[in-house]
Amino acid sequence: MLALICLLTLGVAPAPAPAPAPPVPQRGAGQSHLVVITGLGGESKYREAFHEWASQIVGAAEGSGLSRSNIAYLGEKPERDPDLIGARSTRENVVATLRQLAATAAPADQIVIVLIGHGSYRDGVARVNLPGPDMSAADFAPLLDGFATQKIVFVNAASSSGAFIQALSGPNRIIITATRSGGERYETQFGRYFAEALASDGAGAGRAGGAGGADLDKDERISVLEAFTFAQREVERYYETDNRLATEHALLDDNGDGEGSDEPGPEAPDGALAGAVYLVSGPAASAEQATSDPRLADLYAEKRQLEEEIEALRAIKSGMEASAYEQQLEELLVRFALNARAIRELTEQVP
Amino acid sequence: MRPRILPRSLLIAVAMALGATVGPAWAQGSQGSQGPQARRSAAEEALRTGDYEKAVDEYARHVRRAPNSAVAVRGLVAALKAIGEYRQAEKAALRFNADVPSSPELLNPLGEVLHLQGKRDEAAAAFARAIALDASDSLTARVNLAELNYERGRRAEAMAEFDRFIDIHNAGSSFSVAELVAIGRALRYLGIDDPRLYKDALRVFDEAIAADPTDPEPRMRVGELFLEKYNSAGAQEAFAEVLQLSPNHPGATLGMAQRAHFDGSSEAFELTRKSLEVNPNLVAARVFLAKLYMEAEEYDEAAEEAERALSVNPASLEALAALAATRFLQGDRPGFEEARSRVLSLNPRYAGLHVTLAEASARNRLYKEAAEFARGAVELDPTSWSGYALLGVNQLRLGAIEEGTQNLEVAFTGDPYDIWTKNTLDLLDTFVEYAETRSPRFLFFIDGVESELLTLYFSDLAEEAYERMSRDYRYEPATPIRVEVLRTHADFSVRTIGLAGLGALGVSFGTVIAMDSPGAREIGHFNWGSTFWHELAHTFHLGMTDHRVPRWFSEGLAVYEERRARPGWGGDATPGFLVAYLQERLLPLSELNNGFVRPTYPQQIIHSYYQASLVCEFIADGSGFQALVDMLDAYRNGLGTSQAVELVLDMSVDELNDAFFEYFEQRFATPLVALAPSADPREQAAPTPEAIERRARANSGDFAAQLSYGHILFREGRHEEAEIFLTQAKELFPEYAGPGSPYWYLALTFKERGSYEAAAAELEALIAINGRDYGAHLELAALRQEIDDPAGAAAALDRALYISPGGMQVHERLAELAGGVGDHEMAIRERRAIVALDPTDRAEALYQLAAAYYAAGELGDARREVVRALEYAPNFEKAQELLLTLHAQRSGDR
Repeated sequence: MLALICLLTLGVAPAPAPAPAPPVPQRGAGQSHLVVITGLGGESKYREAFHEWASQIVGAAEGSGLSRSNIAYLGEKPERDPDLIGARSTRENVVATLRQLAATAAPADQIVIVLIGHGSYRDGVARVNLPGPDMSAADFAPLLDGFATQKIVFVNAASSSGAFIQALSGPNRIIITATRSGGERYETQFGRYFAEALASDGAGAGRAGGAGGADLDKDERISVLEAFTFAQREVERYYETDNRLATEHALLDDNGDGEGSDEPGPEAPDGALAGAVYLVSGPAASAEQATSDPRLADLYAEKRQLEEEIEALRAIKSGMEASAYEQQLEELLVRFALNARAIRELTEQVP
Repeated sequence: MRPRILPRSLLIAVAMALGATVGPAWAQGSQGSQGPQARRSAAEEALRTGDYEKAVDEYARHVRRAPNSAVAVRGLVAALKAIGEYRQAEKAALRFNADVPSSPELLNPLGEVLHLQGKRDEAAAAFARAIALDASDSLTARVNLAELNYERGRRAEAMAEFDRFIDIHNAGSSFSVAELVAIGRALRYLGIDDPRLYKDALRVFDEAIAADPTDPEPRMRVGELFLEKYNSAGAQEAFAEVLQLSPNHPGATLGMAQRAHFDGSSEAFELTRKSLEVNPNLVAARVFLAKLYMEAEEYDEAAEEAERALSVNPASLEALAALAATRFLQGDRPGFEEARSRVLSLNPRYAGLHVTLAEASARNRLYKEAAEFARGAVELDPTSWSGYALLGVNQLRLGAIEEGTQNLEVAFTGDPYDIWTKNTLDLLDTFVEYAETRSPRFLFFIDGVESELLTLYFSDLAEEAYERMSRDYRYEPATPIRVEVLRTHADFSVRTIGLAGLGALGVSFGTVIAMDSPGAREIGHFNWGSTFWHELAHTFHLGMTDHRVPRWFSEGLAVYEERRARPGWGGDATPGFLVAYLQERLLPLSELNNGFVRPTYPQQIIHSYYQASLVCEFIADGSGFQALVDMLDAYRNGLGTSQAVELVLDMSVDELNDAFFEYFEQRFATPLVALAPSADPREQAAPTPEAIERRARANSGDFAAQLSYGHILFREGRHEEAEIFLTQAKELFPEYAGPGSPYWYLALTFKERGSYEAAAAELEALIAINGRDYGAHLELAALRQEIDDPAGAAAALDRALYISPGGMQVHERLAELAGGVGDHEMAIRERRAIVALDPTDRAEALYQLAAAYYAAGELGDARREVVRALEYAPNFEKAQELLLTLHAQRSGDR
C-alpha cells in the first residue's frame, strides 16, 4: 500500500525532459497559497458540514507540510475553531485577505481559493452567501485580477455557482463550480467530495464502495482534474444511490473561454491545464525533483522515456491489432515496473 | 384535384346558418324556451332521454291516432330499434309503406332495421328506394347503402360513394344534424385511406352536436371514433355526455364498457350486460361479450354469446368472426372452418375475421398463430392497418425484431393514431442503445449501460434454471431464448401491451422473455431473480402445451417453481390473503381463472397467483411432481381443466377443490384463527393505542393486536416488553414476513442486546419467506460478519443481489468476503461487477479483479486485467508488482 505524505504543493507537472531532473526545486518555481472560505450555513447541520469539509482541506494542506502562513481559512463562526479559522468570512475580510495575498504573492506562485456554502441566484446575479453582504462573481473578478501572473484555481462549491464561470474565466485560471447554472439552487454535495478527494490517500484505502481514491492514475499526485473527476463522479453516485434526481452538475473551465465543461479531460476543450496542476503530491514525486543520486537520475530519465513510449503506444492503439497492442503494452509495462521497483529500492536506501 | 380536407370556414358558415356557433357542445345547451327541447313532443323527449318504454307507448298512441304520420311511425321504429325489437320495428315500417306507398319516409328506417337483422339484400333495396325517391333522410340512406356495400366487400364502390360526401358537404350550405352525421360517417371510412380525414369527421360530428346539443347521435359517433382511434379519455367524455342526455342508452353503455376494457378496467363485463338489459339484441354488445369471455378462457360462454348475436343477425361479420375465434381457441377445427367460410361467403375481403382471430390468439398467448392470422388479414386487405400492427407486434413477441419493426412502420403510416404502434416504435428506436450478450442457451438484450453488470448474474441464473427445469419437465425449449431486460417499467409495459401502466414485472411470449430491469423499480419492490425464474417457467409450460395451458395453472405453476428455486422466492401468505379466505373471497378452482382475467377486487390477482401456486404445491405434495407434468400434457392434448384433473388426479374439479381447501385450512389453521378478528368489519376502524393495548392484553390469539402492540412498545423503547408481544405474533402467524414483521423487530431487539446469533436467526427466517427485503439481507450479512461467519454473510449478500445488483458497496463487501473464504468464483464475479459499475477509481478496480484472478490461479486473466489497470495508471505500484510476479512466473514456466 502506498504511504503518501500529502503535500499541498500546487505545482505544474514537470514536463518530460531528456535531461536529468534538477536536484532541488528551483527558485521561482513558486509557492502555493490556499484560501478556504465557508459561507453562511443557515442551519447547524450545514454549518457543521461546511466546517468539516473546510477542515479536511486545510488539514490535508497542513498535514502535508504547506506552511500555515500560506493558508487562510475564513469561516462563519471563528469561535467554532479559533486555531483553524483565522477570521470571519465577511465580505470585508474576504476582500482584505485576497488583496493582501495579491500584494505579497510571488509572480510564479499559485493560488487556490475554495468557497463552500450556499449560493443564490436572483435577477441574473449569482452570489455566495456570507455573513453580512453576499459576494457575487463580479465582486470576485477584480480580486482575481490582482493575481496577474499567478495560476489560480477557483472552486465555488456552493449552489447556483455555475454563473461564476463566465465572470471569472481567463488565462491561467481553473474555475470549478458545483452547478452548471445559477438555476441549480438546491444544496450541493460537491464540496464534500472535493474535500474528500484531497483528504484521501492515493490508493483510496478504506473508502467504501470501491470508489478508491482520487489519485486515479496512481502517480502519487492528485491533479485538479482528478479531484474534480472524483468529486463529480461521487456526487453522481450519491444521487443514484439515493434514487434522486441530481440537482447539481459540476463544471470545469480552464481554457479561458468562459464555458465550463462537464467532461473535461486532456483531449477535451477543458482539462489540459487542470490535468497538469497538482493539488497533492506524494514522496516519490518530490524525490524525483530532489534527487542528487546519479543512479536515481538515470532511472528517472529511463522512467520518463518509458512514460513517453507508453503514451505514444496508447495514442496509436485504435490503429493497431489488439493482440499486438497488448503484447507491446505489456512489454513496456514490465520494463516500467522494473524501473519503478529499482527506483523504490534506491530511494528506500536513503536514510 | 378536390381538396381532401374540409374547409374550416365552410363549416363555420354551415353552423351559422343553423343558428349555432362553433365551440364546445355544452356551451350551446341553453337555448331558452325556443330550443329544440321545448319543441319536442313527449314521445320524442322520452326517446331522447332513454325512457324507451314510454317512447314506444307514446309513439304507438300517436300511430294509432294518425297511422299515416311518417313522423310518428319513424319515432316508433326508432324506439323499438333502441330496445332491440327489430321485428316489431320492421313490421311498423312495412305497414306504413303499404298504407302510404307514396311516401318514401320510412324506407331508410326500414332498411336500417333490416340491416340489423342481417337481411342485407332487402336492406339495400330499401336504402336504394329511399335515395331514388329523394326521402328526407336520403343522405343517411346513401351512407347506409355505402356501408352495406363496404361490409359486402365491395370496397371500391363503397369508397367512391363515401368520397362523394365531400362534394356534397362542400357544395351544401345547410345540413340537418342527421345529414351532418351521415357526412361524418362517410369521412370516417375515408380516413382508412387518408387518416387526416378522421379529424374532419370529428369536426363534422362536432358541428352536428353544436346544431343540436340534445341529440345523442352525433356524440355517440364521436365516442365511437375516439374509441376506434385509441383515445380513451375522449371516448369516455363523449359517452358520458350521451348518458347524461339518455341514461339508458345501450350504445353509450356499451361504449363505456369498451372504454373500460381499453383501460384495463374490470367494469367491462358489467357495463356490457347493462347495455344488453336495455337492448338484448344489441349484436355489438353480444360480440363484445363473446370477446370478453374468450379473454377469460371461457370459450363455451363466448360461443353462446356469438351464437346469440347470430340469431339476431346471421350476417354479422363481427359475430361470425367471434364465433370462428372461439371455435379456434376451443380446438374445434370443423366449427372454426364453418364459421370462417360463412364469413368469407358474406365478404371475401373481410380482413376483420383475421384481425379478430389474431387478437384472440394473442390474448390467449398463441403468438405464432396470431402472427399467421394477422398476415392473412394484410393479404386480404392491404389497408388493414390493424392487421399490420398485429403482425408486427406478434413478430416482435416471436423475436423477429426486424420484420416486426417493418410491419409496425407500415401500420403507423396507415394509422398514425394507433398509440400502441406508436409507443412500440418509439421503444424500438431505443433498442440501438441496447447490447446483446449470450450464454450457451440465452441471448440477453440489455441496456448498454447495465449490460455488462447484469449479464454476470442473468447468465448464471438462466443456465441454472434451464438445467433444472429441463431435467424436471424432460423438455427443452428451443434456444436461444431471448431475454429482454427493459430499462424502465414503462418500456417493459409498452413492449408487452403497447401502453404504459401494466402492473406485471415480466412476461414470457414463449422463447422471448421481457421484464423490468432491476433498476426499473425501487429497491424492494421486486426480486428480479425470481421474476426471471417465473417467466422462464412460463416458457417451459407454454412450449410443453403448445401455448394451451390455462392462465391459472401457468401462473400457479410458475410461482410454485419460484419457491422451488430459492427460499423466500415465489410469494407468501399475507394477512390480506388469509382474510380474503375468511371473507370467502378466494375463488373455487373452477373459477380461479377469473381471478386473473376478471378480478373483482384490487388484490384479487395477487391472491389468485398465490392461491394457484398453493394448488400446484398441493397437487405435487399429494400426487408427486409428475402429476403437474401430466396436467401440462393433458392441456397440450386439448383437455380443459376439468378433464385434465379427472384424467391425472382421478377426481373431479370440485373434489380437488374440496381437498385443496381442507389442506388449506390445515396448513393455515393457526393464522386463520388469529386473523379472524381482522376479517370482522367492526375491527377495520383505526383503533387508538390504548384500544390496541386492551385488545392485545385481552386476546393473546389476536395476531393484529399482538403485532400492533409490539410495534407500539418497540417505538416507545420498551423492547423487552415488545418482545413478548412480537414473539406471540410470530407464533400466531409464522408465515408473515412482510413489512413490520415480528422477525424484523425481534432481530433488532436481539441485536441491541448483543445476541447476534439470535438476531441472525430471526433474519434468516424472514428472508426464507420474503426474498424481497433488501434491508434484511444486508442486516443479516452484517450480523453474520459480527459472529465471524463470513460464508453466511457472503450468502446473504449474494441473495441480496437478486433484489438489487447495483450497489457498489455490496459488491465490494461480497468480493472481500468471498475472497476471504476462498470462493474465488464469486470473488471474481464481484470484482467484475465493480468494474462494470464504472467505478471512479477504475485502475484500483481492475487491479482488484486481476488479484482475484491471480488468487484463483487464473493467471492469463490476471495478466490481462493487470495490464488494463496499468494501461490506465502505469505508476500503480501494487499493479506493477502483480505484473512482475506474473511475468516472473511465466518466465519460470518457460
